[in-house]
Amino acid sequence: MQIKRKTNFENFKKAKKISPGGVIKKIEKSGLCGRGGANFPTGLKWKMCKPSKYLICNADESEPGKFKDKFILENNPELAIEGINIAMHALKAQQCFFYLREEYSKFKTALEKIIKEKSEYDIQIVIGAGSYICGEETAILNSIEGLRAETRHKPPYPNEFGLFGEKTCINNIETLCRVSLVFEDDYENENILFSISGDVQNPGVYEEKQGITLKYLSEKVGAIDPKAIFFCASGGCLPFQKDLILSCKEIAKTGNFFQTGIIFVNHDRNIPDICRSITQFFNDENCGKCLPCREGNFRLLQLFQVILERKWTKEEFQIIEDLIDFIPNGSQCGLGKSSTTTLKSAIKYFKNEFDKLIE
Amino acid sequence: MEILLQHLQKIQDKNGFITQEDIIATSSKFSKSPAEIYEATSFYSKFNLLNGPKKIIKICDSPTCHIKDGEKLLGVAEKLLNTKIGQDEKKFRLESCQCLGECDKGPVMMIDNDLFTNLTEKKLEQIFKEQKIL
Repeated sequence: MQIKRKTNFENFKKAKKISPGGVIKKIEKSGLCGRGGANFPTGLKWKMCKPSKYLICNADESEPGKFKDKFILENNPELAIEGINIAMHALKAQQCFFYLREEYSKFKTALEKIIKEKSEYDIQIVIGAGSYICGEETAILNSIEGLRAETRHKPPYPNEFGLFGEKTCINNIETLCRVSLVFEDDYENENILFSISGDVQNPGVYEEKQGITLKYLSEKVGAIDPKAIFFCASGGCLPFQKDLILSCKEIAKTGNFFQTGIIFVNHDRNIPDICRSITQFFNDENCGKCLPCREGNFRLLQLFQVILERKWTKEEFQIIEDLIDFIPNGSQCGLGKSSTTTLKSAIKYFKNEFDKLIE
Repeated sequence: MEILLQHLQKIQDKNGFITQEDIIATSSKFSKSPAEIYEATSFYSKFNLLNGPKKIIKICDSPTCHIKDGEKLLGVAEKLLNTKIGQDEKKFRLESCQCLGECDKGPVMMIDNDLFTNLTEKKLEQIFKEQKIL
């Protein structure tokens, strides 16, 4: 695994020999895209952000089915700190905030030791307080500023008006690790970390190339009688097809959103019941700012709780389908926009299971 | 730079909960109104605004733990502790929570800051006894 390769900060030394603009060009040329989920080209982001006052390392992953940030923190936090140093140099930034989700606070001491011994820059660790939305790039700003972690309207983007009103660049922790690896001779741009959970023999984190087939992955992780896969809670779901290619482009063609957290589900599982837990997730974790997302997800949860006691009426199921289209259109941020993606694809691909629950 | 979240966390770690007095003291420290501090504090699920120190038992029921019977375990916990989800008891409160980042080891539970993974009904009872909740 490249991501586990130990570093002695040689890559940072190499980067320092190049001008900040030269580093950005190198990252741009490498083709590196953000690993937080949005897949935005990192070089381009840095070009737009430079010079930034603040850099934020986002290690606030809270999406069900994703635990790759934890894997990095457990196995190779030095690489992340090296990546931050390279980014600070390229962006000419003054301070970095390392935003760690609350459940990962156990890594704080080890990180502080690395920062003290190895980092040339001021890196402050901020521990979150249990909120999924803080992974969103504007909610994280509000959280660090001591406000409710509601998302901000964009524009202005953080590269124009970010933390405390200053220019800010926000990168995911895996992206920053890859930034460091770009400076190695055998850098592989297609490598990504897959978080595998659900009905498999060997759950865990795997480093594989984007574009592998589902057959390859399912054999590697020991999928047990797979019926479907879920791309975390927000990326959608698909029936298990061996020849499915796991890449952003191919998954987008199916109407879903490629997330690197893959949950395998076997034939004993009930898809509408999993959808019920997804509606609970988005009901609990939305920030409450936009009415369609707040009230819409609450209504969806109420409707999905109906199946615990009785079947849906045709009218009730129609409301579900209406809300699935309505919520993304009326919501401001990525959470609201993606909160019904999985329900939409579940109804599309597993209609027979839903039909059984309608009067 | 002192960050509000970290300041509140220190209070919570020390006392187990955050009181109105803490919020007023924090507001003068950060030159904000108590309402602004309360507004932020009440947003985050970590902060305990109850009146009294309590063990907070969180069992994950997000989709990955849900398919591993997280919801069933919540029911078992309710019976074992003779309580309802979200109901305040003298010494503890049982909560259903969202992803704790341990999806490969589900179902999982957190009691205050301690994490318990790969739970079974038997393991749950044993942990409650060890934690002196039962």
